[in-house]
Amino acid sequence: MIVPTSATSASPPKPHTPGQVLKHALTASGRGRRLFGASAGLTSHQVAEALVPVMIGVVIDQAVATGDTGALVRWLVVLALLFTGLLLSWRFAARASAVVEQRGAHAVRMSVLNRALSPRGMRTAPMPGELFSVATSDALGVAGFTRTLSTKLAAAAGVIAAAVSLLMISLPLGLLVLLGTPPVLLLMQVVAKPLERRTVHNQALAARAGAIAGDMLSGLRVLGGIGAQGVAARRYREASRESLAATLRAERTQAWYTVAADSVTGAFVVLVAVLGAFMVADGAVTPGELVAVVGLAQYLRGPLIDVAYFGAGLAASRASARRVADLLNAEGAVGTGASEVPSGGGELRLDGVDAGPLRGVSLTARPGELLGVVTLDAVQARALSDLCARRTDPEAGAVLLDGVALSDLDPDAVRRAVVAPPHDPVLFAGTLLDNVVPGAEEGEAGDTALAALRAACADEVADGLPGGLRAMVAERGLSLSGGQRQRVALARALATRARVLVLHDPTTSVDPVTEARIADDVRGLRSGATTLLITGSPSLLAACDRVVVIGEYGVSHEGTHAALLSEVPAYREAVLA
Amino acid sequence: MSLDTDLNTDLKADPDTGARRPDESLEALMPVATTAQTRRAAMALLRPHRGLVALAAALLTAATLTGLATPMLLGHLVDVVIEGEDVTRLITLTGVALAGVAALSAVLNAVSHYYVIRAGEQAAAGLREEVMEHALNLPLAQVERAGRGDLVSRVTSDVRVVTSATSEVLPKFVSALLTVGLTIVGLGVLDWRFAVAALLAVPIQARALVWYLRRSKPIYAAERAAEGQMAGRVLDSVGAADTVTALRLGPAHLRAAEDKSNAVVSLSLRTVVLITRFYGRLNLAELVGLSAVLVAGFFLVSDKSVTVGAATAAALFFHRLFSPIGQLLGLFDDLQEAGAGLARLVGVTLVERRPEPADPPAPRDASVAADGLVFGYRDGRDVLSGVSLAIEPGERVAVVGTTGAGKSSLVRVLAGVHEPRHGSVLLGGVPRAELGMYGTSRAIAMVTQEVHVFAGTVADDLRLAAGPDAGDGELLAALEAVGARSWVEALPDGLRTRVGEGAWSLTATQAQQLALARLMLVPAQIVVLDEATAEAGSSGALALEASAEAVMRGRTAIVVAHRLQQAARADRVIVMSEGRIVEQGTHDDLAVGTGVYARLWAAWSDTRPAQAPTDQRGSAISGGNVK
Repeated sequence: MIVPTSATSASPPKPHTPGQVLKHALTASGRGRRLFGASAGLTSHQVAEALVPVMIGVVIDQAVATGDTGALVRWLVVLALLFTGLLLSWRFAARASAVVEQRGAHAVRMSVLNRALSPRGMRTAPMPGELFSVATSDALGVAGFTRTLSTKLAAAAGVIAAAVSLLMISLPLGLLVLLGTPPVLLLMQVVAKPLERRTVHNQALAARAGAIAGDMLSGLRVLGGIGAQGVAARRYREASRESLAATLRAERTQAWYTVAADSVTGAFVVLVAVLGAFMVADGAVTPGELVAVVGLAQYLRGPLIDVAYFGAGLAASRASARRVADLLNAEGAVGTGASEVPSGGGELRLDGVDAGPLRGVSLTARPGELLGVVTLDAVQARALSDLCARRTDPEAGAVLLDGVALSDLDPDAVRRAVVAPPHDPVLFAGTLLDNVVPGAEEGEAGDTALAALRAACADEVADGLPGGLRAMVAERGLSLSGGQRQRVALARALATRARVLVLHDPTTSVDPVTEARIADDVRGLRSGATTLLITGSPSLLAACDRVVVIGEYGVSHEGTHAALLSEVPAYREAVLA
Repeated sequence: MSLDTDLNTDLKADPDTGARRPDESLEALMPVATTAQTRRAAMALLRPHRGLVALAAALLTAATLTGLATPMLLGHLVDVVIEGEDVTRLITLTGVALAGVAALSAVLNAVSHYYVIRAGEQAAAGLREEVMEHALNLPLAQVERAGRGDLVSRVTSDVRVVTSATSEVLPKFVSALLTVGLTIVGLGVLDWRFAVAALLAVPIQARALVWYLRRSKPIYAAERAAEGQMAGRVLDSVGAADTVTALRLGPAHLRAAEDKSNAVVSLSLRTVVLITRFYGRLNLAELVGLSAVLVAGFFLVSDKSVTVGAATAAALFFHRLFSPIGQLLGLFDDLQEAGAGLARLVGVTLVERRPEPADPPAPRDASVAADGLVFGYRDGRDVLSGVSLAIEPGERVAVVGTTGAGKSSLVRVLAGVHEPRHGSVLLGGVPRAELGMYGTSRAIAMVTQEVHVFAGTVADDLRLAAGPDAGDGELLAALEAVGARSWVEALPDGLRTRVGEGAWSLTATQAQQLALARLMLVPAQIVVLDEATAEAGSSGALALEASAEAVMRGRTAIVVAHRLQQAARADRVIVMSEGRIVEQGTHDDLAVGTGVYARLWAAWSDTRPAQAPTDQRGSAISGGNVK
């Protein structure tokens, strides 16, 4: 019943403006026609709603007051037709508008995700929470304009229908209602403004208790570790009491507003009714028409308020659309590249590279070599890993894969040859097997996965889970412990069998016994392929063919782990302190 | 109906819920109250506020009755002008009455709503405080087995649902209910036959409601679940964009997200279909009721039983019911949801807690003794199989071993997080069970690899450990000891800087130093550091190890070590394998020879086993207090 919009057709043309984002969400892929239909449907629904009190008046005048049975039947049929129209037009409109809104949100969501996961990366990467809120709430915010547009159009139509009915019934009464309602609404707005501010403030206070509760329980293990539950409970009680007081203040404010608003509108309706009654007495209007006028005066308030909120609705959707557009336009961390990925043995060479904390680094990982790299700190290590995967380009110098500069290659193509996962071992929701060899079934891929898991000492992770390789891993891998995650992530990197594999501190959460085993197994599994191990761990460095040490100004030492240990006191200090 | 079958297959077919959906045995761990228990709890919560509840009910009834006067007076107005006698005076009088009624009903409406909310909010605040107090003091192991997420979602979203229902749904629902009821009575006062005509709508509405509720519950639950899964997928992907692109998983992740997103789209559209059908049925009921009232008016006016004004009033009465009836039926959903939330909240308070001993004996000293500890998690495999050890007051013990050897389980049993199946733990010569939860936490404190910075100021965070009355000087001294004073004082507002979620963000090393500073402030004389310095990179690890030194000074310390340097500095090293202690002794004794630890140390410090390990340690470790 629903045709899925594909990810590629979902991306709007570039460069993106908020207007284009809105337009794309609401009108692309035939959504424009539906939006038109939804607006038309809601409009007729509003008009029908406005006509209900008019019909009551007509039945009173034509049938109840006269005793004419024929008229009664006739007008009841008309009333039934009116309800049928009202029902059908709303049903149609509500469904059409939901389709536009949901599919529009889906399209925006997919284009945001497309950009967020683009191999080009982002120069200034937003926080995940920010990206998430753009992909979810802002996508809905943009598509929510569907509702703003269709309901406000319909409300305007309702206002017009009511106005026409009023003027046809009685020119002076109609004018009174039409000219009187806007100032009444304006008066309500004036009263509401300061109250609204106070309400928002108090609501924010009221929300705090919830935040504290969630925070305390997220840190429950920490609280338990230091026996702080009692203090925490007392603190929550205080916050809860403050929230209660703030909520009640907000509600008192709200109550005053309700009194003011209801009195003003009530008084206005009474005025209309009394003047109408005098006109009935003069014979200018019928009793039924008076009923209709009073009904319409009450009805008008809803759609008029609705119309007044069009500006606010547009502003909210535009703000969402702006955030979406900004994200879609975000500058990439690296450009693209046209050169072919060279075939070769997998030599990775840094040639006089300056990049962030790295200055003048030249080093070569020879084809088939297991090269250890020791850096001053984690920032340098990260910069090196980023360069190898072309997540960043060097400020000076070049990173070369088998003689071709990475900056001439498409970033996605680079990563086919050079796999350099970031240090944080993030797993994804899915089976364990799917995490190690994405998209794999059992069989050969299963064997690759098993070999990689074994080398990473992660086979016991699979053994310990119900279902083994088929066991489900929760979002971000959080159902596993830090050490388990790290080993599965290592297995995932090994399973790529990349020509060049760059591992950044892959065993920080692994105990030394296991780490020593992993070092040997990785060495065995990667024999013949190029591997860079960026690490400070002596167990891993001991397994390397060669170790280079990066200092403040480029490579400072080079040699085997054993030789460096005995000859370079600074190295000793760095890896054994 | 095809809708239902589609929905059921959808729910079953979904492969991704497996890891997150709690199975039945887990749900049993964190109970949900039955309807009867929930009702009892709600009554108990309202009892202290019964004066307020009575006042609210009285005001609400008065407000609704006043509201009914308006159509009556409008009908009267019609009669006045039709009869045409003394018109000016009567219209003016009726107008004044209408204006008075409008003002009075505005005031009564607002005031009565306020009092309903006030009674409800006070009861809700009492509930959430009780639930939180309970939640914080549940046995940690039980909370973790049931999943902390479940508890967190209860005290956050369920509390939110229940309180917002209290202030938004409850007053509307009660007043709509009263309006409908009293309007029917009002119709009856005009003429009983009007009331009968209006009631013709009721069977249609009742059927519509039953029809809707039966379908809406599963479809909304499925929609929420689909939204949760979609959100999870999106967060999973965008939270690790670097990993996704490094492994070229982009297309697969986009496909997965698209599937989840499409599931949300189609479920939302199904809910819209359901709602439009429901309201269609309600519209039908309105038509039937309104026509019936008009027809009744027609015949009653014909045989002069009522005036045209009364017929008008009756029609207006019924027309006024459209919106409260829609509200009433629409609010059923929210009420159901709030009821479910309430049941989950009351459920937390039903978990039985181990009673705290009234007068726990004081530990004699800071010694730890364990005898024949056997412990396993629920799947039956024993993680500890017969561990015995004795730790002297002031001794520092390092626990070393592979993952899964039982190191963390051992220290968690010692710290009272888990109960051993067999064997005993004595803290300062007193059995742990006799100390109770409070006494245990005063004797032994633990910091793990898991860091959590509590939202609030740095001082607030530290006072969780030091108690609410601790002075700034005491806090600063603790920070000084762990080497964190300088950076804390360099924060924008020093100790008053807000940290944690949504505020100033601390580095991993800073957060862990804060955790160690908390440990400085607790009275416990036995401290456990479970990989407390592991995840900070090599430069951070050195700073943290210095902080840990300060925490352990003068106390009994048990350290689960990832870096062997920590083991080298301990008085005693315990090597664990498969739930047992396989070696123990000083570092110097264990590092020579052919044991597990010796091989480990050799691999760690040098590749050449020929070199004597003691020599290396002497030069590699400066300032360690190796005995």
